[in-house]
Amino acid sequence: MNQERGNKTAEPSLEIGLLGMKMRTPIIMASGTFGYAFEIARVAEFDFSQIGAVVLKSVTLEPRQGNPPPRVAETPSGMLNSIGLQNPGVDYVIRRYLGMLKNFDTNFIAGIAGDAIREYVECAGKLAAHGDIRAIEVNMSCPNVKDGRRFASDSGAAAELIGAVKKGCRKPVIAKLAPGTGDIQEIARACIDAGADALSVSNTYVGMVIDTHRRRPLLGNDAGGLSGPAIRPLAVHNVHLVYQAAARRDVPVIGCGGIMTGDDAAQMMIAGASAVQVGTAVFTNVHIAADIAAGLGRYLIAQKEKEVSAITGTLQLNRA
Amino acid sequence: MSKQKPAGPYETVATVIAQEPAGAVAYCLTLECPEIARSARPPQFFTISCHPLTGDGADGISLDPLLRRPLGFYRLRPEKGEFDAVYQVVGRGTKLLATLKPGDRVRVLGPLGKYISPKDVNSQTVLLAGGGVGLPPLYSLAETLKDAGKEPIVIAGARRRETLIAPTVPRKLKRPVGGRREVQSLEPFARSDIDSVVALEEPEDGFFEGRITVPLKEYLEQDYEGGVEIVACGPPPMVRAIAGLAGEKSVKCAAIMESRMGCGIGACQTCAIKTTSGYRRVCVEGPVFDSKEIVWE
Repeated sequence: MNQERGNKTAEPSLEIGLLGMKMRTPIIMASGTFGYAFEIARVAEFDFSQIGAVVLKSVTLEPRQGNPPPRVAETPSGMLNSIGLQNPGVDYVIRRYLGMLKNFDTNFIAGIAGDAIREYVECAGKLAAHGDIRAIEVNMSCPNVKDGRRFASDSGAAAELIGAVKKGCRKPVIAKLAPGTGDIQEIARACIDAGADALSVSNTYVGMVIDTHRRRPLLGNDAGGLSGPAIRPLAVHNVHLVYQAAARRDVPVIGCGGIMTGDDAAQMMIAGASAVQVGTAVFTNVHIAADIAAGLGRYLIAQKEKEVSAITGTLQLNRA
Repeated sequence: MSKQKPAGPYETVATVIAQEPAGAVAYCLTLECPEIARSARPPQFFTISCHPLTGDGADGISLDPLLRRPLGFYRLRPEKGEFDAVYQVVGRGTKLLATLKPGDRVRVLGPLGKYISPKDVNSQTVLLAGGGVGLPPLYSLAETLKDAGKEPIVIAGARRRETLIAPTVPRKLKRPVGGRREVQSLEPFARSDIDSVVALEEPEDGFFEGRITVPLKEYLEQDYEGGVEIVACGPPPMVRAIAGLAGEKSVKCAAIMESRMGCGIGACQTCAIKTTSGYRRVCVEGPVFDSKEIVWE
């Protein structure tokens, strides 16, 4: 007994600080798969204690009806979605949904999307004014709307957008980058120069599933965004690339793409992420954040790490 | 009886009790899951992982396919904490479901969606029309309606007798239809003393010949002192035909819809179908819709 007590080391801490938020774990629920939180919170015994923050589903200035169904197509280890930013518009979301956030014990980040910069700016301003919104994540790259990837594929446009949003709101601004749009490091640098407080890396990959019988795309909108474990190595690599650009500017990277387990989260963090986002995995288990947090805790114990933040950016490349 | 809202949904693990063929093309899965069995009310549904829990790292997470399958409730046995669900093998996911064995443990989420409360059903007689794996949810619904003092009558449609999810037995109808008193009836409904008739596209003795609308039309010709309405559940073209006939006859019709699903609890907007008031989610605004509101495509 005595010996045990003597050897007992404190449980490793999963707590991190990000953009002024105190987060109990580095696990953030990604935009789009967690709704506006109240939907998921209806599940019996739902527990926010292992969730560091939630990014609310992207809202636009005006309501959007979304894309025609089918809106989902499965593929091994992944799924494509083409929701098309269906949402009731920023005013409705603020009036009807944000009031419920105070019932849930975690941090909230608002996701915004749009076509024109002015729409983003207006949305950000309205949402940032809400007391329970701690930061704004700018969805620069929705693959499911016309021209949705413009801001994420051109560093000039990206900088203009982030700069404008940053100017128009007093809360921290996270730029959510898109994969597969050219030089992601260049876009990352442009966003940082424009004042981004953090970078989310990244959104879904554009893909297509074809119904060979009908020789038509399975999705009603033809193409959609690929998510799930299928994209995890791609996302880990992009986090690694963006971290190289962001670390020297002291801008945190949030890793996102296919995380299902504690080990997946650890990979993202070693590659350079300060926190991770979990999206598609919620569809396999609503309580997945608790499982990922437990896995991450076990990893830290095995690695004799006391704090989760200590593993961020600790990647040792084989080829120096 | 109480006004109390049912609890849940529950994210939990169910144990497979049994798995048996249901007709020639479907399977009936019996699951033990007290939380869901006690709170489910037809025609709610649940989602199920296609892979059992294995005890390793990412436990019970299915990677291919990634998403859980939505299934309706067939027989609910709340006192035993069990329920049955019937599905047809149509793709990779349901093929994997068919390999589940007694003792396997699987991730489930439910009960999901809106239910039909008998006290919200104004008519005394309810025609429950459906086919394929749409029939089992109509079974639990018929029982609920019957227990509440309503008159449920089941009308089934199938191509051949073999494609029905349950065997048929001869039955003397309580309410004869189209001049028929003795028909072939679906065995589970007959056992619960609920009238049912079956329309087959390939004719046989004791069955109506043609599509489901043939017997449905006969039923709609009759008089119902306490009023009549329809609940439809089945393949979309069948539900659409039923809804069309209901529209012609100005009879209220609830359509139980299905859709490819993401979260199952209203967060992701994946399962939206087109309605007269825009895209609406099958998982929370449904699965029950007024058939007049559905925009068929």
